[in-house]
Amino acid sequence: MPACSRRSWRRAAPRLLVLALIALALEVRPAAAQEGELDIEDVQLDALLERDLDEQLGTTTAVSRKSENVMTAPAAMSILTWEQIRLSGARTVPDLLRWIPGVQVYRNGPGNHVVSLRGTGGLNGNNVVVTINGIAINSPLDASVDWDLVPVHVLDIERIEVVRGPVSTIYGQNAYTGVINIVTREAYGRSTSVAARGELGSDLELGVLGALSGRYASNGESSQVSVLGSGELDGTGRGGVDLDVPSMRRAGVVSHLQVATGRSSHLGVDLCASISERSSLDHLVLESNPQTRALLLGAVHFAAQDISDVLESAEISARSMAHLTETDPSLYQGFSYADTRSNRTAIGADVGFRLAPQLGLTVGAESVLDWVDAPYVNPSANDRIYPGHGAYGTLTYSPFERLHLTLGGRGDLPPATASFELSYRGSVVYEANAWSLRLAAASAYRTPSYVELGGRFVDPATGLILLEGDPDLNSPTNETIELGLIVAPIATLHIMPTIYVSRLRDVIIEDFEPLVRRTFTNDPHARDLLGGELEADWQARDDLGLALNLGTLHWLNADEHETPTVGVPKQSSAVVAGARVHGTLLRERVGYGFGANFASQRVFAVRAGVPPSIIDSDVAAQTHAFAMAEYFLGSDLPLWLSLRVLAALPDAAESPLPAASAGGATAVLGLAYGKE
Amino acid sequence: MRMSVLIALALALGLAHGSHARADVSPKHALLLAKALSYERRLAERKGSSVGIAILYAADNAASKASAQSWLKAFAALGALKVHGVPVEVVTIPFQRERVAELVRARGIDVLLTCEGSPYAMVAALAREHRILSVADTRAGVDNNLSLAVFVHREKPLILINVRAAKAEGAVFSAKLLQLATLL
Amino acid sequence: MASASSGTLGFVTASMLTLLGCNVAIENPPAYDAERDLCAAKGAKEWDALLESCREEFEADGGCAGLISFTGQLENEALTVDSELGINEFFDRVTVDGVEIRQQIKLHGRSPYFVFAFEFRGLGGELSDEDQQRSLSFGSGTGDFESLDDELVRGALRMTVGGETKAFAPRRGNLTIAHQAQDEQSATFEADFGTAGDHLTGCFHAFAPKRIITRDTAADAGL
Repeated sequence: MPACSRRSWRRAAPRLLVLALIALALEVRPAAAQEGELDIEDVQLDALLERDLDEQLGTTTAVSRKSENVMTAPAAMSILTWEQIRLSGARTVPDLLRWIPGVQVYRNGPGNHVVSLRGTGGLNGNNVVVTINGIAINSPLDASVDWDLVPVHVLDIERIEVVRGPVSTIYGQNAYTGVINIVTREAYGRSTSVAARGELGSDLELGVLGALSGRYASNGESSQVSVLGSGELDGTGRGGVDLDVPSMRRAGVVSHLQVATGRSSHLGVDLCASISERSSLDHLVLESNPQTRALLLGAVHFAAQDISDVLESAEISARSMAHLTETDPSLYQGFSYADTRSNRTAIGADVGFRLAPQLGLTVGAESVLDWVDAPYVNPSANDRIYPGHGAYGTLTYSPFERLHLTLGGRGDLPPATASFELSYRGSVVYEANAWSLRLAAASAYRTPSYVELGGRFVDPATGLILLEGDPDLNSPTNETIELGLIVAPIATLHIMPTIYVSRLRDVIIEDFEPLVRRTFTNDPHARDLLGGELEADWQARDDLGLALNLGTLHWLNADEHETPTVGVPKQSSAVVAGARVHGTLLRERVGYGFGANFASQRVFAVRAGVPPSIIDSDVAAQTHAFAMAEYFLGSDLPLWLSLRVLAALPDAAESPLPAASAGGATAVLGLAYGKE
Repeated sequence: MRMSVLIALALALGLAHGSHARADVSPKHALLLAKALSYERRLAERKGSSVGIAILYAADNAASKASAQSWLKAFAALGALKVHGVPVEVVTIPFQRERVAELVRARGIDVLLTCEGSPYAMVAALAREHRILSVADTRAGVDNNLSLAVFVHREKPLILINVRAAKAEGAVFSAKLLQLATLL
Repeated sequence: MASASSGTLGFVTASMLTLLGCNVAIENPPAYDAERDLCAAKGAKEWDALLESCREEFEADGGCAGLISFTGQLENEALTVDSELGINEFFDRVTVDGVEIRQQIKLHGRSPYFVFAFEFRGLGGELSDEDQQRSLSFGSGTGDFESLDDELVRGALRMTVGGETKAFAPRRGNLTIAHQAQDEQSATFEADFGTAGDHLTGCFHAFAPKRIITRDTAADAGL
């Protein structure tokens, strides 16, 4: 072959090869483009960026409070990204959590949700630590979470990270079955981002819903600041048994400031404030009257990285959270949370060492001061300050590039108890290119709440003690072994099954059988739980994604004792499953999403209320369906129009508590301005 | 699905071929740049019958000129490429301020792809004046206030975006791209 | 209610304690811990003083109808109760011959956790201002516990809280009557209840503003 022809062949070969392959590929989409044309929409960005599975899954700080790859993290976790959040139709964080495997959500009324993870959480949802940008917002009184006090609008959430399983080695008390971290949105790069939005909606009973929210975020050369605010009125889904279920009114603001103090160090300040009025209905208050709650949170931290060859990171932090509940006791026939105040203040330090290229060590300590003041706490225990302390260490070792071992332990002297709690975590993760396998064992504990330890509920009419705490309660513990797999059979499909066995010991039960004295006790019988979770995400195209979530529970030893307790096994559905589709059209001018989430029937009996009474619950299987669409008007005036329709089927209360209201169907119109 | 796998395979081969032939721009870089442009909302709104890319180089710099030729070839290897539903048209031009400005006006240029050696500051000023997008082929360009760069970093392709510069040029990138790109 | 600011000094103190590594456990003892076993020998002086004060109050305005105290275990829970008595009821029977016999008494009191009523039926015995030591037996046997001529008595303890009531019946034990007058009754008791381990010992001294009197007729006497 002549030399010039050989040169010509070499020059032409790549183009011919590309065209040949394009031609082959085009056979799959015969109508998409003319012969020889390549539409960029048919090419996936992930493929062009050659993102491996670990890059696609990203990094997280929720599992170990240190940045690590999700693929090799020592615990099962799920992440909802901003796009998935935006196209999920969800209006509240609990609605978002319905799409996480292993999570069950039920709604007592507007703004009143209980979130349960891995079969526990019962009627008060206090087995999960919830953080905003890493700062816990659980109530110091009983570790419950007021989801209406989360001060962030869902569209101002960059990411939700859910760690499933016991995580006390990192978070201390109450990370019993997991941690939920809400990461708020910031500006991209060095820029300023502003957004404002309004929403108006209604349900079939003409209950009104309205919301206003806004965001200002700016990243400068050496500082980042963001302020997010939201306010909402939700009068939807008040129908059902009691049509006088109060609406919810809430307002909240979150601000974050971070200033670089050196080449690799920064100082951060976080402030949160939130106030809400909504129904009082919960497992102790069986009436649905207006109740006001407020949260005030401030945190400061200083962090430095790469301090020396050995000292990889160091952080000191301080935070303080005040929580307040107020209501008009004259509205109640029974117990209410009127006049409840609590505060938790903590200081902590965390240091990371790189002992060798494959060996890392993190040590830390935290001291906590709790203060609770409530009329239903024994006066001898009330209005006092209770200190607590914890210290932890985690060793990470990668003897080979693909093998990662973790061993961690934490010792705590929790506040208000005379006990010493030990928790541990060990994991082995093997990582390949397109899959990783995780075997992990961990323990966690839940400190009995101030109600369970020091409560004294007195009937205002008779002066008799209806329910009393027990200061000698043991902390319930959760020991779990789990096997998890992350696999990408094709680059755009992620499948993440997890199977686990948990042993729950010292579950606190409300021993209301004796009339002589009603108190809390530890169940002497351990409860074993076998569970499975499956998460699958398929990014079929850049503009089309499908997601599936499945969680299943099976209690291995039946509850022989008929004493209904707060955490009875059948309080959670045996099966919770969901599927959703999200995508964009017309080059991202239009966004859409639709899907449904199913929770199987729950039949159980439980004692609730003060004075306690037995509630026989038969909660039918529930399906929550949604459809949403949004339209971007244009860059000259960056406005977004959206319509969300959410429906709960059947139109019946999904909460076992009396006076809970049904969800019904709601349609919401939204208008947003700014870079979304 | 099959399309993206095949394209990726083709690009990998293209890169391999490219890396054997010369350490220069491969069709993959051109495709990645085109993909990044597909996430620029203003471009979607103002584009005419085509997306015009002007490849700028320093006439007195052989390496700069070679780089421009390399980009041209990379785009040519892709054949008839469509972004925002319209064809991509690529021209090269040695940088001279008035000539480039004239080209922008006459040919409806939407993107100034700047090869190393060209005066970044002038290109950035031109882009802001005409409200079009400036692109660099190295990090240095983005550090010098060009909006976007596509290059190989640690053997992986990378999109680098100077968000502030992009905003000054009137560009609005989709959050989907901003989350995957490296931001300055 | 103490305000947060009043805890400021405590906050600083606790901070120091924290630095010293101290850990403070919550104190929430059962309310029974604050109750007194007034029947115990060491409590006898206290009992006499309280009873005297109660009698004065009763004679003045009818308040404080007596004292009761008991201790032991019920429903597997250790308890101690001391309480003033509320409105007591004495049921008496007058024979054709004019002899006054006590049929039953009902006593009402309260503990921190429940209100209660003791009922003792089939007491028998003439009313007298003299002290005595007459012992009756509790039990669930076949004897006629309603009879006034034997040494058996039927007892009942009803507890009520939050709209719920439970009744307990002493199965074995003794009721020893120390004084049985028209408007005054005192006794000590000890009894086992149905559940193993449930046992109470106690004492009471009751005044009654109200007597329900049943008079036998000639027909009742078989005349």
